[in-house]
Amino acid sequence: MAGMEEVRRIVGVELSDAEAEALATYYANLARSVAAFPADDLRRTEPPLRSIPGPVL
Amino acid sequence: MTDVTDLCDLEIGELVPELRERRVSPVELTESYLDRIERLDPQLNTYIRVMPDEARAAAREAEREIARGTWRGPLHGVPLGIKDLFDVAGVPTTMGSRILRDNVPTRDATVVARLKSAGAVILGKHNLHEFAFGITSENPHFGVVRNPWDLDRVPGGSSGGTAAAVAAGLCAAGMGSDTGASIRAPASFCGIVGLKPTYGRVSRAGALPLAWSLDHAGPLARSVADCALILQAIAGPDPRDPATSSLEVPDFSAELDQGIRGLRLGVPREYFFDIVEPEVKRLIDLAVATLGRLGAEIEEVSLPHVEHAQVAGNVIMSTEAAAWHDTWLRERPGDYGADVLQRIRGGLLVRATEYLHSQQMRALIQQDFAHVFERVQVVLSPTVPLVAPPIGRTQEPGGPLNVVPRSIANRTTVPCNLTGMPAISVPCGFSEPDGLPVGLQIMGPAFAEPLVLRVAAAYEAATEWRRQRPPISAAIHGSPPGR
Repeated sequence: MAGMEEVRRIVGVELSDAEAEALATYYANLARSVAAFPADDLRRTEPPLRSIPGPVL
Repeated sequence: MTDVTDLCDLEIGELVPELRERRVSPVELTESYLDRIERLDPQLNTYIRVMPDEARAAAREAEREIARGTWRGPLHGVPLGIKDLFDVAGVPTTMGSRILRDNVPTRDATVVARLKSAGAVILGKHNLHEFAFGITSENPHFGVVRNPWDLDRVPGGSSGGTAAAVAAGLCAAGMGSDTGASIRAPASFCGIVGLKPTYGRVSRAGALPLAWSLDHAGPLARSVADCALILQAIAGPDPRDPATSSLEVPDFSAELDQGIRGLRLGVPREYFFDIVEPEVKRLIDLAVATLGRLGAEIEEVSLPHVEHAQVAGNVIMSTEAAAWHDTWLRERPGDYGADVLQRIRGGLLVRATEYLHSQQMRALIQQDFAHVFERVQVVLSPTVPLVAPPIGRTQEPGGPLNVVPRSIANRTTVPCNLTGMPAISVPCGFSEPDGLPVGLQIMGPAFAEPLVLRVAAAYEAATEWRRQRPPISAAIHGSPPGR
């Protein structure tokens, strides 16, 4: 989990404690959910990121 | 509720013969809409900018063309509204934000150019959730959009102004965008039809982005047939948008009356029905039963990875949004609304590996749907698990499930943004006792819009929901509201 100081460093602007804590919590929840993705399934799967050649006109 | 009694309540399909045969003039029709906007929009706040001069000029031109026998097609002389994230040359594209308040493009978005080329009259730019990043359209800069079915409730978002305007008869139909729910959720909350086409079917050029890999443009209208007519005008390859497909554009209206006898319709076992308000569940069950009575075979299907769709969607959405907003986040944070700022900033914190794992999850969900579409033609679900929540109470637990509305509103729609599949929301009834609209979502394989529209049209034809109009329309006609 990103700590409040790490959050402040990444966001790069002045944050109140409440803002930093809310962001840290928001991120922690997302990160925990991503960590729960089935690892074996991910390992056999390529992310759909590739060059798009665009329309052939 | 009230019955149809006004030019502004007619569907495009009903207006076409009137306009073509010159029984109704585009100028008369446009004036009717401008009058109705003036009377109702102070309550609903659906427009950020009304364009009366431009609309009247376009209507006069359409009238002249039709009078001399030049018929551009079914949108000729039809007044439409545009979500204020599509560029209309010479008019600010604000995206509902303070930051872009003075952003004036010099060129139309491709969809706007195509609608104009089809003869449509542009009435104005619709209010939306700030930067299209939210499902309520409680906009801190341009005011809250109100749901015409209950003015104390949100219309959904982010295309909330468009959906509320279509439902209240403040435009014949509108153009929206959908990154996680933003066409379909407001369509569901406002009791109209909203179609998110396949990724690549409709150009996004000239539409400001929320998240490039999830953004779709599509129509909101009062009937399935009207959605098909608008899609016909805007679909097809565009050199300005490299993601557009060069596949041939079919006739989207051709299969609307073919019925669904013998089609196999899937109902997911997992996820889509896990968190659903009882009234929404009741109406969706009735809708599925109606489709069964129309001759379709209903089959349970399994989508094992879809339980992770909302997380994957939110990670991708916030990360891509943070990339686009990066400079403003550092230089103008005070110009954002609190909820949107929080969500976009959250994207700055996501690690590259988490973004890529979410993209991998996206591929797994695409594979799940591909397997399902080997057995069934379309998949059915609630469009949104809940009815429109009250304004000002979307970030706190409430409703029959005691959940935070904002946390689940894109739960059942975002899978189709990840997969790029077409999905439509069609009205399927009203909750009791509040009388709030509920939408049925129909999802199909990539580029199968004709099939999705066909199933939606069959359901729509078997029910009377599309003929219901919100209480605010009854007030216009001087009759007491029915709800």
